[in-house]
Amino acid sequence: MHFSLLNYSIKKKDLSKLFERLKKEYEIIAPVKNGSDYNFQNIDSTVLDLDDYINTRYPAKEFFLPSPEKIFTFTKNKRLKISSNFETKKRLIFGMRPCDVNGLLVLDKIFIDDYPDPFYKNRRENTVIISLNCNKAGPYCFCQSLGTDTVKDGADLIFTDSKSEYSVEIGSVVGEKIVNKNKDLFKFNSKKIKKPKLKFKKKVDTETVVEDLKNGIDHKIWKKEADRCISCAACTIVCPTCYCYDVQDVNSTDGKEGNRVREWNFCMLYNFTRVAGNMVFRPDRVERLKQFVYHKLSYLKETDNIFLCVGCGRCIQSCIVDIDLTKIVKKLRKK
Amino acid sequence: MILDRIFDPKIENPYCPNLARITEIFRETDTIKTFKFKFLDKNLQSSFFFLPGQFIQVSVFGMGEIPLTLCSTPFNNDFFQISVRRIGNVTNALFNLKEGDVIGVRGPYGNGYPINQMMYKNVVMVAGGIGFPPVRSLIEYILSRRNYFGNLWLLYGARDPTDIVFRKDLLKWKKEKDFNILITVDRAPQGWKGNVGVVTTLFDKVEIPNENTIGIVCGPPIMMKFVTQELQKLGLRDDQIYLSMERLMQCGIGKCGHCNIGKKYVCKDGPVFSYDELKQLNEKIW
Repeated sequence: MHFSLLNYSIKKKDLSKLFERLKKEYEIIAPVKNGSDYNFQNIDSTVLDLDDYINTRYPAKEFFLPSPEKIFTFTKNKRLKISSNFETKKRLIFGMRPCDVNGLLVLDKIFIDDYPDPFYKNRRENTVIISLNCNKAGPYCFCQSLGTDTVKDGADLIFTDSKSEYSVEIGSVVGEKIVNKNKDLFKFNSKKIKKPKLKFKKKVDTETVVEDLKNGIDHKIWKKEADRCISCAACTIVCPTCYCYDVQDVNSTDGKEGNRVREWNFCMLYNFTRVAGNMVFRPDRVERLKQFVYHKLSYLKETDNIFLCVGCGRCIQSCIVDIDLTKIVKKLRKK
Repeated sequence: MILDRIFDPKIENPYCPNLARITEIFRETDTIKTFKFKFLDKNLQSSFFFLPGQFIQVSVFGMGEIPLTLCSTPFNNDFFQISVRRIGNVTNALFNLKEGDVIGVRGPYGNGYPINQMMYKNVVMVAGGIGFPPVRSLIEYILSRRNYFGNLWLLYGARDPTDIVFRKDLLKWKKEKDFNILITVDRAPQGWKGNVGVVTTLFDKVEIPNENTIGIVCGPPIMMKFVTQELQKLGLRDDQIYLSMERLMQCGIGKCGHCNIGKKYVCKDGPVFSYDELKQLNEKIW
């Protein structure tokens, strides 16, 4: 970050004015309260209610990796033809928490760095991200231990809540342009931005976790936890960095044309590793639970020196049988 | 927003297959057919290059896409071949296709067999069932570059005599110098004069030096497990044993997650792994 050393501020009541102007260029997505949960939605009214916003129940990954997604169309007339096109809708996502912005950086690594995926890449490049720093840590959060509690990269503007206004840091050229175009709303701010100190109830020891997982592959905790698992895949559905998918052909009723479509799929499901002949490589819950935890906290650390987990805590929040990966990795250290 | 990369609409969609025409179908057994195909694009046909052991993603449009390993020689660009057992939806649809029909092919993906590791060494190839086709490509490769390799063994196990594939090739290879071919079947009807028993029983019938030897194994997981043990008994180190791992790769480019084994992706890091690599992964392989 620190793209620009200049900081700005915007009054909270001016945010709707800003959105009203940006609406002409972008589809605006922000956290909207439904019942007790917040979720990212396309907003019509530009007034936001963020009074008790900790984080959204679902991450914003559906705006980058929608499911289902058409990857090409084929038509079977005299000749077989394949065509594909890419969405170029411009979007602005407001209010992404630092953990989720860091989650996007992880997805960038997978979908852009090696064999670029044009669908993801295109959406990523057409989306402006305004991150909103947290005032308060939720009961399931553990981003601090993974270093994902601050935005160093990946957001165009970074907002910090300070009473009646937001302090604004600039993260990219696009972010700077937005500020410059709306100089009447953004005031120059010479004060140092005060970021609230957050208290976390959960943590992961990142110094030792890879080693602990390596040594703890046969620890009895795995079976104990997996015995409770109901294989619902909620943990993977709500994870901002779970990206696995299935590919299928969906045909028109006359069979003359169809789409190849990808849909999210989840390693926690029995069928995920099934191959022809009904061979399943991870038939037991314990193997699937291990796959999830190791993938989040070990595999990418070994190969790319990053954690796939960003500590948003949604997997813990969504698990109805209270499986908690921070507790699992902690217990691995005890014999 | 990522600023240093501006979106180019002409960017290739890596999931779009190239169209190819099936030029010949050969029925190997009741459940296995070998398909010859040629790309519609002549430039692609002449420039397409693969290593033995690499796989392609084959589409039957309307049914889906599956990973299959090429089984023909990499040194002939007139046509390419895949050998398929009818076992799932897409392979079933492939079986219903006729000569002249169009399929989709993208790839090749994966690492292929470690040719550099195998040069100037003896090669023991152990194949089980439909694990034979990838090995056939390797054999053709080695025979085209015969001087660069030591003695060869092929230990091939099929379910029963009617399930033996590439019969013509087997007869042709029998005439090669320093190439020992042993075939066994799990079950045999009366009158079968060959070996009966699982493929590991063939190890008693051959003498394989453990020095300067590479073991290549391709077959179902249970077969690979016991063959690996046999090769270890012969004295082969774990880094001299190479296994082809089977997973249902759906993207081929390390994204869909289906082929994850520990920190490795079968599509990018494999499908051929040394046993040494596999045993260090945090996941059981069989």
